[in-house]
Amino acid sequence: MNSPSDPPDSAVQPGPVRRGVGTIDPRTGPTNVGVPRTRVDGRAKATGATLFADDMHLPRTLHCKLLRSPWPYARITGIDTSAAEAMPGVVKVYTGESFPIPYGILPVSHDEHALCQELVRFVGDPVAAVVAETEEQAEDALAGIKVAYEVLPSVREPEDGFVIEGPPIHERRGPGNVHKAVSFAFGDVDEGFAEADLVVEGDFHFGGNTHLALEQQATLAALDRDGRLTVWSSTQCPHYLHKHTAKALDMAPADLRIVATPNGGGFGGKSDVFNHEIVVAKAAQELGRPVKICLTREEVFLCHRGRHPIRMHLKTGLTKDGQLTGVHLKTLLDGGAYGSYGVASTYYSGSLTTVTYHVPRFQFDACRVHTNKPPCGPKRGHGTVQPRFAQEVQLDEIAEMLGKDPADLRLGMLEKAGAETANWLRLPSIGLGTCIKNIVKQSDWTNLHRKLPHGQGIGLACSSYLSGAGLPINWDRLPQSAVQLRFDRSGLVVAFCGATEIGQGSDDVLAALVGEVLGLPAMSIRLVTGDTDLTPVDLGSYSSRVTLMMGNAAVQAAERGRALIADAVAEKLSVRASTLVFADSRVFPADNPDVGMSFAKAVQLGEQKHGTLGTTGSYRPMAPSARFKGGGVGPSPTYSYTAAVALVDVDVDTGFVTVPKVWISHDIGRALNPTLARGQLVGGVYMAVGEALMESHEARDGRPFDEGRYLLRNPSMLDYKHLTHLDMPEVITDLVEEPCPEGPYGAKEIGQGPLTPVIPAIANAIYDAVGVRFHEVPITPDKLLAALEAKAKGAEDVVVGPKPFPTDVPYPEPMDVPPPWEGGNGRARGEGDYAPGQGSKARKGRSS
Amino acid sequence: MMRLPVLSHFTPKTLDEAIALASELPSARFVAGGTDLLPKLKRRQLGASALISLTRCEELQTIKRLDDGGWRIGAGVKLVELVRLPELRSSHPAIWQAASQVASPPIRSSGTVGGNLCVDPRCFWFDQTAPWREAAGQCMKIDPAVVCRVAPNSPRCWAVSSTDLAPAMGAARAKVRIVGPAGERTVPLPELYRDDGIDYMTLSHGEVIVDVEIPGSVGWRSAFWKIRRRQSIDFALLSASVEVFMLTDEVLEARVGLGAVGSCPLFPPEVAAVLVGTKLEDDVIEAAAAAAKKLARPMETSDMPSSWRRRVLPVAVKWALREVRGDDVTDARRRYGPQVLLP
Repeated sequence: MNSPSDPPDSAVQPGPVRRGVGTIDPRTGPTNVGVPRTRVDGRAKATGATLFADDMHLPRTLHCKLLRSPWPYARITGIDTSAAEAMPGVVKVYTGESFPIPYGILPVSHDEHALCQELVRFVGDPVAAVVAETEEQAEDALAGIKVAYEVLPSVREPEDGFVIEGPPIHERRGPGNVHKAVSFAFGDVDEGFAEADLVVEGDFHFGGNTHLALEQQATLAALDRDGRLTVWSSTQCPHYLHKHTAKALDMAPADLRIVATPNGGGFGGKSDVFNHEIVVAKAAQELGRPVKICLTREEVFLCHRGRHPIRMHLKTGLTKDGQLTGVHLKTLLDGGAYGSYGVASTYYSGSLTTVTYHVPRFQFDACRVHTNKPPCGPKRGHGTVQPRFAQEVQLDEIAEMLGKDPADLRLGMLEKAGAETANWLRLPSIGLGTCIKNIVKQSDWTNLHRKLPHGQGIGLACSSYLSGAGLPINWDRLPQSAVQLRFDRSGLVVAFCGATEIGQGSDDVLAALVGEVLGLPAMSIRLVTGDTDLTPVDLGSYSSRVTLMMGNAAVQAAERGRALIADAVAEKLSVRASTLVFADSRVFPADNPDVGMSFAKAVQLGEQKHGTLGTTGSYRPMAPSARFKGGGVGPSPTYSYTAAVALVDVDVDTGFVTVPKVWISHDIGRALNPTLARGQLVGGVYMAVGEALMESHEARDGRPFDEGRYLLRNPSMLDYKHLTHLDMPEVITDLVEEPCPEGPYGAKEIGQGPLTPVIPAIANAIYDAVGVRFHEVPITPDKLLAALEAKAKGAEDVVVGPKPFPTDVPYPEPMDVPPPWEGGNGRARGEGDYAPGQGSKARKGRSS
Repeated sequence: MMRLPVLSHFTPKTLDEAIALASELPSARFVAGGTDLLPKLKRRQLGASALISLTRCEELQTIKRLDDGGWRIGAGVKLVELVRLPELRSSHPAIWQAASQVASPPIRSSGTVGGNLCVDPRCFWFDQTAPWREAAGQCMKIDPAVVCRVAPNSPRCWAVSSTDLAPAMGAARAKVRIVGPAGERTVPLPELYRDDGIDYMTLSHGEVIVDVEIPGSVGWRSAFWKIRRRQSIDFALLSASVEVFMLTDEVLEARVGLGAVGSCPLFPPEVAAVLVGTKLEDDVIEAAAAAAKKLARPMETSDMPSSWRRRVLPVAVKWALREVRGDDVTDARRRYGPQVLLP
């Protein structure tokens, strides 16, 4: 590692950094890193000064509303917009024919159109758009659009989609409505089960739920004075929105500017490209006036892209001393009506199974099927929350069967730092053991587990998550995050970065890291972010990538600036640059602080010597070890780890579950701002308790009559049950800081991972409380009460779970990929060198 | 966002003026806090050409302690004002407990006593936006040509009464003073309601609830238990209010109010009768709860299945009775409704 006094590698190397950078100067101690601080955007958010997309208004703005399908699956046989066009204030009515070019967030599933073409695929699919002088007029005019539909038989459950009668929801390789089916064998799992002393199997179901960000999506589009189009939108991924809007509107990307407004929460729900964004962009371009749309809460529920409902079959083999011998996981994902991130979700439903405990052989079969429901996509913990629930509940069962403490069982099978897993994931650092030991101690686990009175229980579970997807969505070799710095004579440093603040603290990380290198308080750094005209590309706020990737880029840019400034100051003071320290907004020799100068003066010296000061930094992760087809989903520069203990109180008369307290310990590598990091832990617990006990994004039909109807049951904040303040447990947070060599100053993610273990911990605690196993969530009072009644009538081993996992899921033959310890090289046996990340033109644009 | 339809808005300064306005405007609606009405107008569940605000009518703002220890409470009094009355908490705990569990603090700061008594009965098929209802195929409450979606063979609507105050005030023998174009009348609170999800009140157009008179409570003990999915904001899945008159340890008189089990609050004398002459022994409480369960017919109108609501109704009745018996119910309150534990 560098001495902080020499220019660090990242400052001198020409290309993007590929490993973690940043060292706290031991001569001064930290300026921002690790110091609990008020977030840089906190004041504006607390006082209401932050401008969200819906706060934006331009003179002569027109307003847009979308007409959405009332049928789950139908063919549009005619649209008559004439009456709507004649209504007061209406400027334009659009239908699908104005939007012939398909788009989609993944290159492999460009299956969306801004307005439906021939088919509507779920209740809520946008069919037409009205642009009018006022929002009321636009809304009123929707009633003037007459659409004729031929209703088609709808597909409601994934297992109904293998063999279908009507037209498939999308033309794919199939069969039926299957979107994606994959299978991998990392070693011979049957051999593993043959070696096992105990083989446990179970069926699980994780119900669908949605993000419920407080801010409803809004978009404003306008031409600037030069006729170029600007789109302000509540998006997590301005870069992808840029790319796809340009595609869908057949325009040069350079003529389009996307500005990501601060998101009032995202959680994955604003990472797709949405119909309304494309529609208002086109309308503004065509009509020459600003056009705005703000979705209703119901429309946000319909846009969805939330947690996939997944049915799972999990088979695990162990030796009697608690070592895993093999794991076979089958998943069946209900994808809803569109592709979205679904191919990635399909892989994620298995790929992180191996990163916590040592799994010597692993088979994984996954299948995503389209149904006539709002499309599913990425939600906090993308695709990994559901299988982790199954895995951690099953481990609780296994611990009981083996007569082991659940914490000890897990500690005994942990994967080791530096390991490469059966499916070729590199694990640079693992603090999970410390996490488990900490919560066991803090929660007094040993004295409470299996020892609480009936109705009260305690449960434990663990998890892991990516710190950034190792590969970009669009395979290329470009940096995945970049930062530009401008050093002003006033001493002001402006950081430009495409990263997007969605509430997670992206701005704070950027300011803190730039400030850390330059000895400036985070609050003094000015930020320009998420603007495709002004900022270099960052791929977006998804996959928990921002702190690590943007952070490394920011440190590189700041170190380059620091080197230039130090060079000039050293010359002026006739000292060696390595003796200079940057601290307290000053630059001075470490051994003689009095001869130093203000940071502003130092910048002036730098500018005098080198010309205008501006530096860049960029980051691209190292290529993954996995080189088999499909191995691109799962690799990450590093992984965070979490352990949680939940205390529950079951009311045996009603089935209500309250969660008085949760202990959560997270391996974050290093907490750049412990205040925000702890906030993410509490937020993760909040969302997890909701998902465990109530949140449910589900459809219902028109029973008892009119069964052709099929729509989202509860699209409102009153009916979509989620925790209120009074339902929120007390949360005891614990940050494990064992710096990871891949992250900036050793930091790893904390935004997504901490949600995951809390859900199985609650299920395990309920078992401890009342002896009822839950193999599905949400765990609702009616299900629990029915189970308690069955138990009271003498039923043994009461398991509340789904019907048996279907046997006819059309999985392909498994791809045979030998694990590292079986002499593999990261490729599939018999396959050529399949190297994602280097691009593969043959696959481009093909539907999977 | 969802927006209100275009409508006129009037702010009369006296009750007479308000009633006169209503007579001139047959499709006008009265509005006080607006927490129930305005969302329904935005969702186009109800129509109105005009709103007549009652917030400036002084007559509706009374909070008066009566000589017998009872109360006269104006219909325009905000729920939060009841919650902030420690004297009401000690004299009429059930009413105070009901008020303190309505919705959430912001809604209690705006919503009124009269508004809560008039809350429109709710149903999953009706309390949705216009596009949702269209996609679902409508229901009887919005379109008389469609049958009731929860009971297709029934000629009536089964939307569920969702007022928290009515079961508590009705059990406390409250009387309601109503003024309208035809003058003033006073009725026992239960007579405000009809057992119908659409035509649920006996008020005629232009009639306004002025105030509620609650008799003194010397010798009475009361408790209100609300069961709902979450510990704030949600409407009742069930509620039970119990009033018992006991000078020693024997119940001399009793009243029970049940909420959210039908289209109107129920005050079943047969449940109350089980309690009279007893000392609220465990088996008596069980018998009363069983009697309540027999009466109630929750339908598939709400968040939780009706089978669960039927099973859980006796639980609410039991806890209310245990509380008036003097049991320590702190733990159960913590699970069901922590607001009533707050100072």
